[in-house]
Amino acid sequence: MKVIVNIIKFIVITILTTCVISIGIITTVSSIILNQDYITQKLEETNFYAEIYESVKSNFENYIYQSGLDEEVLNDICTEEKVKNDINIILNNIFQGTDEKIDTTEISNNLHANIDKLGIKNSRNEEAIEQFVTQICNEYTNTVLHTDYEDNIHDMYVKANTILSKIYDIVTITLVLGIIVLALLNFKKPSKNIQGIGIVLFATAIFNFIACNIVTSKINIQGIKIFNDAFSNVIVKIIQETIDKIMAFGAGVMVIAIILIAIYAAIMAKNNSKEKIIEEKTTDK
Amino acid sequence: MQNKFVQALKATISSIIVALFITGLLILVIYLFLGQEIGTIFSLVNKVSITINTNKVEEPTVINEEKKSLENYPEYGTQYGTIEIEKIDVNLPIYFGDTLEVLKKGIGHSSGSYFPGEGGSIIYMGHNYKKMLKRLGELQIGNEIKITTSYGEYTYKVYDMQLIKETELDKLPVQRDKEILMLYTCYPFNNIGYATQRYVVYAELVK
Repeated sequence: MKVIVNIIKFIVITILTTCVISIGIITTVSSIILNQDYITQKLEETNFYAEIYESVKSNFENYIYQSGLDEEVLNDICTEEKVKNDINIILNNIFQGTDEKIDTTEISNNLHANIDKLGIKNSRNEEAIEQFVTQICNEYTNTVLHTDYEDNIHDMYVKANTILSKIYDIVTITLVLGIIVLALLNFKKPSKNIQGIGIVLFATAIFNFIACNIVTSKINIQGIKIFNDAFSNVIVKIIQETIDKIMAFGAGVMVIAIILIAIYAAIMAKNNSKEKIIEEKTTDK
Repeated sequence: MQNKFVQALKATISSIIVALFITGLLILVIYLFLGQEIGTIFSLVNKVSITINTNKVEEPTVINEEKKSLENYPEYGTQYGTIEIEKIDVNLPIYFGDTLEVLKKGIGHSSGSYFPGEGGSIIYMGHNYKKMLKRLGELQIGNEIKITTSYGEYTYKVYDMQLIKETELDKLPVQRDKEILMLYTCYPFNNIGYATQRYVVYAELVK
């Protein structure tokens, strides 16, 4: 009978460990990748807007050298503020499901004004100039917006949120039920509950440390390059912070686990010595 | 007292062993059921991850005069020389490669052609922008083009000019019988918009 109870306890503790690990991961993902405020904050921290603005200007130059026009036509056609606003429009489209488009009228107007100022437009080159303006506007949109699938990404975001929230609910209910079952199983020895929770937290912490170490040893996170340097920096920062958060969660859980196991060990030692004293007294009598 | 300590130690060790066993079990289960998927994710991420070898020692580019070939070719996208055309007041850096980023900075060297000193066709290109090759059309037969690299100096003399369609660029003669330099830019020089023709200057090695 005792063996069966111990096996059940082991299964319950294993399930509880899985629940705590899952809750940790879901909470981290929800607060990082699926959180618009966090993403916006990281974009600011990694100087993303300024770097994209520089990319926009650099890509414009690629066209100017081929166009035969003077560099001056590009003067002040776009500002860092506009780049920032447009990136935030994309983020809103992705996270909130808005359907705002990037407006390049301002760039087109500024470009036309600069070209008019230089007085180079005539009936022969009018079409070529219009084509150039369109190319510059398209280049701007392409540089700022890396995807045409904002709607799809938004749908995926909503789906991920729904699934994660459902998993979170299931895991939380399982965790509560698990704790109740564990308490019932340890009804006669409540100190065993402390040990059980200590084991759950200790296993969670070790699992987190091992998982993070596997990820960092298998992937060269700092070397990740997607689209451009600015975007890559944000991705690297987010992955790094996710790992750091999981490690910090592991460390916090480990401290609590050690305290709980120490308390249990102290109780065990105390109970044992009491038992010994009673045993000795009985023998003396 | 010692007994108390042994009991506490026993309780602690047993708790830790159970915890480690559970961790191992979970890792084993994840490995068995999701190992392949996790491996795929790792390899996908590593495909977009670049490892930069910071300990790499740059070997200088040198020319083997006997074989007429370079040793330690310059890295793609790096500058390896300068081009000087006194007649049209050009003094620009030469980069190995022909990407837009390279052409923004100076003259690009088509990677399918030979390097100066190798005894073959060298294909260079640049924008017809005012700071670049806008005045290439002013060059005349007999004018000199001087190329300075880290491994030597080469002087070429212009012997021909040609106008070709952009689509015919791959027909530029790449050979290794004679060292010739082909330098081209977009044409017409005062064009606005995308130019579909290229103005090519041919020059042969004189020293």
